[in-house]
Formats: sequence, C-alpha cells, structure tokens
Amino acid sequence: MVQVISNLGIESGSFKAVTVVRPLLVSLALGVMVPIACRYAVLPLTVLVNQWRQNQ
Amino acid sequence: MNHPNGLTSRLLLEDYTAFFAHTAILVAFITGATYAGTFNLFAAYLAGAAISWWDSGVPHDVRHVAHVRKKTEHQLSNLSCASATLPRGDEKPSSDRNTHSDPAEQRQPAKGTSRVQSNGASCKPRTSRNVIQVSRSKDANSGEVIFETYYTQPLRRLLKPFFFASIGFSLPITRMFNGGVVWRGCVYTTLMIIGKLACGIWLLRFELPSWLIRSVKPNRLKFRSSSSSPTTTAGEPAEAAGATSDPPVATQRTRANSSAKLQDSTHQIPQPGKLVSLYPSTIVGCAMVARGEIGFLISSLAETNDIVGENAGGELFLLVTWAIMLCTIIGPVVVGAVARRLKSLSEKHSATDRRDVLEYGDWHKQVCPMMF
Repeated sequence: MVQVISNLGIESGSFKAVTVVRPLLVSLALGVMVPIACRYAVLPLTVLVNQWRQNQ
Repeated sequence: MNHPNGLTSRLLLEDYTAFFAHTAILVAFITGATYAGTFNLFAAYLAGAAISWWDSGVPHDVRHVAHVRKKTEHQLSNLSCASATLPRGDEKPSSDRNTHSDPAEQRQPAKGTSRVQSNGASCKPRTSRNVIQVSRSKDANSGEVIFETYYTQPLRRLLKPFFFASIGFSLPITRMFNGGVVWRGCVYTTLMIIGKLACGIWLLRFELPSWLIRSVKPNRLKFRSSSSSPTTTAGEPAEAAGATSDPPVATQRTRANSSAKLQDSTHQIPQPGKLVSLYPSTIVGCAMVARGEIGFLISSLAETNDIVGENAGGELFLLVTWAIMLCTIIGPVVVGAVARRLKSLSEKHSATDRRDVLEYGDWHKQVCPMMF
C-alpha cells in the first residue's frame, strides 16, 4: 500500500499498471516463497548441521 | 570443531552469533524486498516470522538445547532476586528503574521482560495471561530475546521519539482549525468510526434458533452426554464459528463459556435467536477505532508526494488528519468506559452468582488483560 502510493508519487502524471501491480505481486511472491524456502531449504540444512555437530 | 568446546561449537552457542545472524537475515530481506519493489515493512515481518519459526519449529542440537536451557535458568535465578524487590506484575517501573542502575544489572530486564512475568507466574499463577507467558518463554538465543536485549532500548529511546516527532511536525496545525475543515473532518470521523467498528462483527454471537438446533442435534451432537441440556448445545456452533476467527482467545472463551453454561443451564431458559452479548464486539470494535497510525503514515506519504490535495489546497489531507486524530482520542476513551462498566457488572454479578456469567463471561480477562 505504502509502496504503491510512493510509486504513484514518483511517476506523477502518468498512471501505469506497473505501479500498482508490481508491489502486490512481489509481496505475494515473497509471502509464498519464504515459507517454501524455510520448509525445503532451511529445515533440511538445520537438520544436516545438527547431524554434523552430533557426529563430531 | 573436533570436540564440544571447539571454536565452531562455542561460536554457534553465543548470543552474538544469533544477533548477527538475525540482523543479517533482516537486512537481506529488507534489501531484497526494496529492490524487488515491494514495501520493506512486509519483508521485516517475514524475517521476524521466519526467525521465530526457526526457534520453535526446527529440531535443534541437543547440546545447544542444554546450553540454552542452562543459560535461561541462570537468567531466571538472577531475575528472581531482582524482581523480588519490585511490585509484582508491574513491568514498566522495573525497566525504567534498571536503566539507571549499573550496566551489569541493566541487561537482565531487557533480556527477559516476559521472564519477569513468568517468574511471577511460577510463584503464583494468577491469570491465564501469565500461563501463556510461561509456555511462551523462550530460550536465550531466540529471536524474541535477542530483540529485547539488543534492539528494544534503541527502539524505545531513539526511533520511537523520532517517529512521533516526525508525525507531530507534519501536522499542519495552523491550517486545521478552519470551520469548513473542522465540520467535514467530524463527518469523516463518524464514517471512519463506523467502518472500524465493523471489525467487532466477528465477535457477535447468537443463540441459534430452536428449529435449527433440533435439526442439527441428532446428527452432530448425538455423542454428547445426556446430562447436557439444550442450553449447552445451543451456543456451541455459533461459538465454533467465532473460534475460527480468533483461535487462542476464542478457544479459551469457548471453554469458559461452555462450562459456565453447564453451570447456568439450570437458571435460565434461552430464547432462540437472542443476542448472547454485545460487549466483546463493542470492545474489539472500539479498540480498532484507536488504531490509525498507519493510516496517518499513508496519508502523510501521499501528501508529501503530491498525490492528494492539489485540488482544494490540501484540504483532503486535513480531513484525513482530523478523522485519524479524533479516532485516536475517542477509541481508548470508549474502550476504557466499556471495560469499567463490564468490570463493575461482573463484580456485581459474581457476588449474586447468577446466570450473568453467560452474558458477561470471563472472556474480558483474556481480551483485555491489561485492564483487569
């Protein structure tokens, strides 16, 4: 929301779809990608590191 | 690292490591989000959520867990002697007092403001809030504790004053007291209040009509014991609907209310379709009325970027400012009044021990624990 408004301010005069759609899509993608990355990258990595520490 | 006291092992257990890791995650998220073109507050929220997920939802090394537990217990024992002299359940004086004392003592309250409470709760569990605090008490390297240790003080002493001062300086006080602006601002305030009060709709609860109960009962509720009366089953589906909207509060409330209903079913005969209580939704709605900072942030951003207010000499911005200011003042006052009335009502009726537990309940102790 805030990003949309500040984008609007930067491009004063012309109203383009990118100014509204881009922040929305980026935040949506971020909100989807972060849990996926946590689940499928951080969790196995943590388990791996734990195992490594246990073995040492 | 070849042994438990190796460099890597010790490094991983230090809270400085956690501090740097959390900060790096936060900075990375914010930078990425800003370059990608979205709002960085959202990225900060995601970073916090990820860190607290890692603290609670990931299996940790046994040695790490043991070390952290030892550290936490150490802090707890330190804090018990510190908090013995403090007034119980009063956090603010403790943090204020300790900032003026010596640096060794200074770190502990910041490290566990929740721990002051959990310590008090272990001595004497007074309310459900303290119980929640105990179950939520984290280890010494968790994101919450690291934030409290390293970030709370600068946030409170530096960033908050800057934030509020910047908001205050951007208020166009001299232009605001114009007759037309004032009355239109008041009209907009009413509209805004109505919109924000709508948040309380989610807490409206109705007794279901009797035909619906009769039709539902053989299917869904046949496993219930025969001792439970129709009064008990009447409110349950409606409350289950409420529980989905706000799980932690609502489940406790459901439990409290259903037990209260069991006790009170002898006292009253329910009228189908009746409103159970208006107080929960009133309090939530009025509490939402007070929340307007983000609206102010957005409107002032729009003003500085010349998006609104070119047509009428910035009048639109003045109206929004009026509405947000009045809402911020009105909301807490109404919440306070309603809560006071609720408290007096529950005290009065707890003395007579009547059916009113159903209507006033003890949910307010969960909804607004600061007040009771």
